Order: sequence, then structure tokens, then C-alpha cells
Amino acid sequence: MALRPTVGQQIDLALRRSIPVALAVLLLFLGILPWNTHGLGPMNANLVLIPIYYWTLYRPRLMTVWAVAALGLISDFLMGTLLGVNMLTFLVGYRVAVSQRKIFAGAPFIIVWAGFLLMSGVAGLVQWLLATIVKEQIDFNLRPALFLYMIGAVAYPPCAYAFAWIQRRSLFRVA
Amino acid sequence: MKQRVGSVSIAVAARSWTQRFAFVLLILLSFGIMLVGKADTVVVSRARTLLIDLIAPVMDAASRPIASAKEAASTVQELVALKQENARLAEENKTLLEWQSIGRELQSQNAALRDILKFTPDPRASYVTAPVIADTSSSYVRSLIVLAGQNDGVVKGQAAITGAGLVGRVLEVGRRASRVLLLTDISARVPVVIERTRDQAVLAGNNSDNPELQYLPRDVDIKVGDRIVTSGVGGNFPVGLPVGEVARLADGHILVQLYAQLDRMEYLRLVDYSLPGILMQDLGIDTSKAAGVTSPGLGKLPRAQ
Repeated sequence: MALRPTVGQQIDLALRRSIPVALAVLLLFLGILPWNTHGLGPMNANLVLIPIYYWTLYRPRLMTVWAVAALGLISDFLMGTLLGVNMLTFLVGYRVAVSQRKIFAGAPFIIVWAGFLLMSGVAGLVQWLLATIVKEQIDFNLRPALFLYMIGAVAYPPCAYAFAWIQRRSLFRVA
Repeated sequence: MKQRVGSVSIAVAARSWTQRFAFVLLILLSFGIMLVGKADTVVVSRARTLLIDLIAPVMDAASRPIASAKEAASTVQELVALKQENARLAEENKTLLEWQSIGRELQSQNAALRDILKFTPDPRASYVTAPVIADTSSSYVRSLIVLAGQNDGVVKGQAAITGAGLVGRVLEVGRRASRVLLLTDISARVPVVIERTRDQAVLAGNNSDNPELQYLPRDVDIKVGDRIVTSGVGGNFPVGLPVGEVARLADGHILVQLYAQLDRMEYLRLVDYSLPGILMQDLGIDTSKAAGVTSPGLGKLPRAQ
């Protein structure tokens, strides 16, 4: 007969299960700190796409579609964008990650990284389209968007390394 | 055994369908939220300001180490360039002393002329100095969150400035924190005037570092380096607030370099000029009451007359 887990064990498990979403929230907040990067423009890359992509690949049950939608909505509230824009962007990014999970999950790091570039590229495109529709004017100045895309691309390897370490340490036995 | 495998595959299929259903549902929900948000309802506005208030203490605490690190770095830089800086300041001080004597002369002359004309002075401005606690700018939105809100006398529509010039205006006001829409945001529009020619225009943000001048007359004589100041049209900002200067003229676009360094702002001054602007009237705010607002901020200074 299987032993029932104690309350302490249940709390421990729940906390461990919340690590991926908590990390995404942390990156969301880190992204909006006033870094004041002189001459580089806004630092707030869609850094939160990194945990969404990573955990969708490696721990899909801990990064659910509901959590992704909630992250998008929080981001909308924080950033002052029209509500729903980041929610839709993150959901589309999530969908791209889910659809490619079988290809990328066991692949070498460079392929996984390329997968992230694809996902954040699609998300960026959706963001641009929505901004165009919402503002009712086409924004041809794509420099900030490209800059943020590059920031995301550069930030992915160290973030993925940190997430892998956390995964080994804290989520080893968590389904 | 076979039955068990069958039930597992049914469970997996059911889970997959639930996920897909949830995805479609959430996509539709996000479109729905966009429609509601576009209507800019009171509920959405309240929710936004509530969240800003909630995160304000956290962001304030988190941004302090960054501010300290920047301060330490600038101290080192200053120490390195101390001698050159001293020479530059001595030179600047000489010039400023000359300006001071001219200023005093003009002030007394101005007072005498006002007395003759029975001139009614502009309402006095009050300032709230607020630290920048979050930079919520992204590819398509340019805004900041500052640690000052209703409790400090901040009102929607107030001008946000640095020592160098205009930065933007207050967009949302919470109890403890507010959001400032920067001049570079694509939806920002400020009535301005070219100081040399007195031609009026609208400074329009374009999500780049250089907003552009729009609605200028066709035959306008504009040159790189021309100063741009607020025109006061619309009544949101006072006349003559420094904004920037013409940086370049490219393909019919006149781009402006702002005086304020938007990527180096640690503190902003939110200014209540007590002007009955169109923003306040649109909002149905009693401007006579708003004019009486006095702010208990850190740097409450009267505007130089």
C-alpha cells in the first residue's frame, strides 16, 4: 500500500512545482528594473519567453497554458500595454514551443537554442502585428524590437544553464 | 493489461484535447480582454494602478542596489576626470556669474514692467521629486514607473521633467506610484514651438530615441540645432518648457534630440502647473480643485518668475 505524503511533503512538492512559474515572474520583474543602459534602448527583452520555452520543453506539466496566459496578463498590467497583447504573444510563443517539443527536447543545445530563436521570432512578429493594429499605424522602426530579440538570444544560454542546474537540484523527482 | 493500456491512452488523448481546448479558449479570451482594454474602462484603469501600487515597494527595494552600483561607478569616473571637470566648472561658473548679473537686472526690470502693466503672474508650480523604480519600456511602449502617487499630490496629466527638460506626462496614478508616458512613445503628442522661428508644431513620439516634429508649415525655415520648447497649446504644459533641439532633417522628417537623457533617469520631477488643461477637462476633473493641490514632495519649489 502506498504511503500518503505528509502535509510537509505536499507543501514541499507544491513549492517545487511552482519553481518554473516563479522563475518566469522573477525574470519579468528583473526585466523592468531601471537598468539605464546608456544608448542601448530599453532592456526589457521578452526575457520571460526564456522560462516559458525552457520549461515547456523540459517540464511541460509545470508550465501550463494557464500559467503562460497569467504571465502574459501580469506583463500587460506591468508594462502598460493594451491588456491581452502580451497574453496573446506569450500564448503563441508557447504554442510554437509545444508544437516543436518532440524535435527540440532531446536535441543538442545549439538546436534547442535555434528553437528558442524561432519561438521568440514568431512571438516578436505577433507583438509587432498587434502593436500595428492597436496603434492603427505601421511602426517601421524595428531597431528596438531587433535589439530586444538579440538580448533574448544572448540571455538564453546562461538562463538555460541556470534552469538546468535548478532542474537537477530541485525538480529531479518532481513530475 | 490491454485494458489498462487502453485507459491510459484515452487519458492522454483527453489531456491533449483539454490542453488544446484551453489554448483556443485563452486565445479567444485574450482577444476579448483586448476589446475590453481598448474601451479603457474604469475597472481596467483601477486594476492597473492597483498593481503598480502593489509592486512599488518591491521595485523600490530591488532598484536600490542598481542605483548604488551606478553611483559607485560614476564616483570612480568623476575621480578619474576630476582635474578636467574642475577646469570646466570654473569656466562654467564664470559664465553663470555673468548670466546671474544679467538675470538680476532683467528681474528688476521685469518687476517694474509688470507693475506698470498690472500683470497677473502665472500660477505657482509645485514639484514632487520621485525616484524611477521601473523602466517598463519595450519595443512598442515607452513608459516608466515612479515612486509618487495620489498620496503625494500627483495628478494625471502632470508634466514629468528632469533638470534638462521635459520627459513626458503622468499617465496613470496609483496611491503610492505612477506611470509616466515618455515623449518617445508612439502615442505621445506634445504641442511645441520652434524657439527661433515661433512656428508651432506637434512633437510626436515614434518609439525611437528621436521623436519627430509634425504639422509644421510647408515653408518653415528650420535648421539643425534649433531649440524646441513647449507651446502651451492645450494647457497641459506651460509655455517655454525646454524639450530638445532639431537633430537632423531626413526625407521630410524632422527629428528631435531631447535634452533629457531618457536612459539615464534616476529621479523625475512631476510638476503641477495648476493649468486647467484639456486632459483634465476631458476627464471631468474639477480643475479649480486640481489647481489647489499642493504636494508634500521632497523638492517642493516655486517656479522662478
